[in-house]
Amino acid sequence: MPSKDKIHQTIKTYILAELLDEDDASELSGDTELVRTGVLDSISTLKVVAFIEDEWDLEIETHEANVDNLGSIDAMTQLVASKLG
Amino acid sequence: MLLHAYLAESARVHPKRVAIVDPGHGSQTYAQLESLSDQACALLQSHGVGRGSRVGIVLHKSTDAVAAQYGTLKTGAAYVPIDADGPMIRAAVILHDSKVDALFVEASLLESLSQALSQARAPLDRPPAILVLDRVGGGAGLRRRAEQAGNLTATPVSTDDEDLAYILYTSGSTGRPKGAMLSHANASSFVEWASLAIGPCERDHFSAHAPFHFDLSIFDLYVCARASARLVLVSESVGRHAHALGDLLEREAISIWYSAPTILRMLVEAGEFERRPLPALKRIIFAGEVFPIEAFRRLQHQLEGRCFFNFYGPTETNVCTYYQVPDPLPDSVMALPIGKVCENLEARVVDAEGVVVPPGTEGELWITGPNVMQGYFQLETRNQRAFAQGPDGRRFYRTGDLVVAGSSGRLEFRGRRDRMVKRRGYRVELGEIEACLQSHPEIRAAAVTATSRRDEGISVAAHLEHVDGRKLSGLKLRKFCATRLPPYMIPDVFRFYAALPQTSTHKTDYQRLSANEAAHER
Repeated sequence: MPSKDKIHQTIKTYILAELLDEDDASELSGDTELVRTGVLDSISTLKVVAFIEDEWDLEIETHEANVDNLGSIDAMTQLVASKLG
Repeated sequence: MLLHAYLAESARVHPKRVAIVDPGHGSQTYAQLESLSDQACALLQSHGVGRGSRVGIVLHKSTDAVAAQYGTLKTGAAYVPIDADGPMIRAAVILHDSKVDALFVEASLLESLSQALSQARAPLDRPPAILVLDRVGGGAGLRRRAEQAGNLTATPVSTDDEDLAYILYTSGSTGRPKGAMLSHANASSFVEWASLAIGPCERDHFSAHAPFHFDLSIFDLYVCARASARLVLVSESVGRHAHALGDLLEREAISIWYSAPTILRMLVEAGEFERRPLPALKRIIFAGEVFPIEAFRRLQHQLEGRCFFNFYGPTETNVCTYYQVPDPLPDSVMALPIGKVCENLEARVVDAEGVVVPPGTEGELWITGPNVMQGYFQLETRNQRAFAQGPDGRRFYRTGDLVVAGSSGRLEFRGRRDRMVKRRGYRVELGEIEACLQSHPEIRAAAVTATSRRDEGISVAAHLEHVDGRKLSGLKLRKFCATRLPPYMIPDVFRFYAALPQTSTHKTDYQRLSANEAAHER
């Protein structure tokens, strides 16, 4: 199983590349609120979910795709780790 | 009251007082300006211009242009001021649309204007008489033209204050300019009100910063003439340069300043008010767009002890509400109110059905009273939409602006009705996003546009100027916005500019920003 650090880094890299700019790297930390800041809206949330499912070959149920699980990189890392573990 | 009567009266009572300063071209007394405008009147009359005519004025800001405007009014005609720095194609469109009977044009612009006129869609049924003025400045161009014509004598015309005084063209949302028609009675009602509100005297020196095709010029020209005060023309090139403007403010001892907020912001940023004491400057008035609150606070700090007025009103009504800013402005104020309704007008805040809403509820501002324009020139359907009938039968102009009346009756501006977009099912006012971004200490100016994307609904873009010309991380701005706005109001993209594009009237050029944004989306 990949380390939490590795999962965290993979998600961060994806979000920076797909949803943000390089300039944002220093601003983006594990607890940055992605939904409240509008980085994740309904469409970009679907993209992130699809990426996570592909990357680690797992399934995120509809009821799991909520702010608690996807609101920050830390929360996503936690979700992925719990599914893999 | 007739607008040219203000000049005539000052020329009678104070013939030797300086009426106008055209920097680099000397000054003219009230008697001289009166005589020069008589010459313009006589020239126009010799070309058949009279009551009911319209005269295009394609001249740079100069004593010649001012005299040409007064001369037009004296014939009983209405003047149509046109941006001499703007594209001649647009000038030609306006000249066609307003069906001018005559026009003043600068010799240097004649060729390009003639070309543009011949390219414009339909030929004019009656080609206008073209009065070419060479080397405009200080009235010299007009004086030479009058001499060539043999110094004709003007024939006094009896005119009525219901006659049109001028037609100001504003950009229509469809991209085709529309001409707001104002009568002498409309304009003088504003002039009388403004004179009471501001209280100028004959010792005042007024700046004339706004171009004559912008309605701020009505204050500069006629409130000044009514007070027998001195009008200092600010040329288009000086008007854009902070240092040159600061010099002019100091050298000409300007006491009453009126401009768009953008110009004052530019002077603040350049430190012009810190560099110079400007003891003569007493009253500063701004209008035309929202003054970002942080920038205003810096201005008030730099010009301590002066009076500041926020004037609000579309071209169609001229100023209809005003706010004298308290000194100091309390920290709790998040946006400058547009204040109370001018004493000569009445307002109504209504919902989409035209029903008056209670205080504290947002609604569209409707205005009635003597300032309100006659209508748009030959645009019947537009006129039907522009006005509404009140329950008592009075005609109201629908400003299209959303306001809220506070408990004190003071109005707050919330944005344009047509700048309201639906995003993710929510109503989003683009002006509210702008106000949020402008409250960021590193943002000097913000403009927000909405573009529809083919598949993904509305895209909201923020166009920003950084105080030091740098860029800020979009995520940083998102975090900032998230503390003040709901997620559906946070822009999709943040773009940084050295300077936001401006229209010829020094307002943010939203049409250009939207066009750029639409190009990005493709």
